[in-house]
Amino acid sequence: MLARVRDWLDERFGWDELIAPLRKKTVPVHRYSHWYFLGGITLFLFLIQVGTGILLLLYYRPSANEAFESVQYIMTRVEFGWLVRSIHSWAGNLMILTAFAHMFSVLFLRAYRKPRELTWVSGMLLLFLALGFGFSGYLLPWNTLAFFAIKVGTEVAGQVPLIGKWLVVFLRGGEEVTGATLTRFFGFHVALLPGITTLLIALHLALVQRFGISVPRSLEAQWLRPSARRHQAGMVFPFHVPNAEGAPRKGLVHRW
Amino acid sequence: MCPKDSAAQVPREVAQSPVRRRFAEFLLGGGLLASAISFLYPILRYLVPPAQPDLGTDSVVAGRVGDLRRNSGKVFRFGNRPGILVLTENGDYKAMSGVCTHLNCTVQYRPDLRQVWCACHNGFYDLNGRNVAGPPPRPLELYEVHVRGEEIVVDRRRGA
Ligand code: HEM
Ligand code: FES
Repeated sequence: MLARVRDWLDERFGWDELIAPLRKKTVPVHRYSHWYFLGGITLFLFLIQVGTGILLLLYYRPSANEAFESVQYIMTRVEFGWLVRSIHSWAGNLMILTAFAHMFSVLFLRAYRKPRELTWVSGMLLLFLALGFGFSGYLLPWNTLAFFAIKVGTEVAGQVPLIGKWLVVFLRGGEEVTGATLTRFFGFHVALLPGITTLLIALHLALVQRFGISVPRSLEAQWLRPSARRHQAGMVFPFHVPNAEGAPRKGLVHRW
Repeated sequence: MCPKDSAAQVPREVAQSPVRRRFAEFLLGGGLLASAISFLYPILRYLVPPAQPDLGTDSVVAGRVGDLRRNSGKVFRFGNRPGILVLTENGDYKAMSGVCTHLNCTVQYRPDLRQVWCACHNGFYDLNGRNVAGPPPRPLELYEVHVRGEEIVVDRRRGA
């Protein structure tokens, strides 16, 4: 069945050719490899957020009169509403954690070196966007804690020189935290930020794809020594199975 | 897994035994299917709208502290209908529906009589919404009032 669909696509679009670049990847394997998982985990959590976020949108009501009540409704009346909301809230926090861990691993492995500067910059922007998600999402339940957290949080923006005052008004949609703030934070949280983030993720991934995965400098030097042997082994994505000969592993070709 | 790898570890005739292979496929497929169901089932249940369309309460900010003098009232919007908020002489807030139960005119507060009055056919209600004089057949629905910081919040309990 699947094979027939594939043949059909292949006849028309040259499907196999299209996905050929995805079928074979060279991934450096060394003792720091696990740090490379963090970007992928962050991406996975983002997709969870998009999925559960869209589900929450079916019942959440973004107005000062109804927001709190609609969240209570999700928790108490909607079947598995507690699950969807809890996953959204936990995965949201975890995503911040993994994004930071990802950033630090790139920093310490010095993976930001030329030619990957743009990947680093787009990644930093994504990190700020993730923080923006967390901050704007926090107001949405519209309870006392959320209200004061956002009140204090937006006050901090007022300390920015010159534009601070303007920034606070922009964030709050007025001088104070009111229903207008809730409406615009909702807009940020479910439309503006997801839009920008999706574009930046596409760029970030395209860059990673283009440059391949970086090898820490010390290892690179070691591998470039003429005496170094080169080993390749067939692997199935995404499991790292130690290769049979127990030889030092370098470039691994992942086929699937 | 890559056939080359598995062949290296498992004797040839066993690896290629169709029964073993089918059993392994069955376990793997069954596991994947069970996982898929455990993800999809809650989502499908979530999508089914609950019998009760909302929690039955509703609230609105009717005004700010200091808007009203004692012994005065004001009409506020509650969704698409009017409500009336009164600050009594003793400093208590009272809120009730602003729609007269007679023929749906909007009521107002009469400081001289300390009552809620409907101008259309001279109907009177007391500050608990009871219809005390004139044509109104039923009391006005009374709302709960909470002062939250600077805001006067009016709650209405619907259905539930
Ligand atoms: C397209 C993506 C997203 C959509 C449509 C979405 C939608 C929503 C909605 C409707 C709520 C309010 C319901 C509630 O409070 O439980 C919410 C809350 C929240 N969101 Fe999102 N969200 C998205 C992505 C994200 C991301 C990427 C993060 C974090 C990095 C995040 C973090 C939060 C947080 C912390 C809350 C408050 C959770 C709570 O109090 O339960 N969201 N989101
Ligand atoms: S409509 Fe109010 S008294 Fe008739």
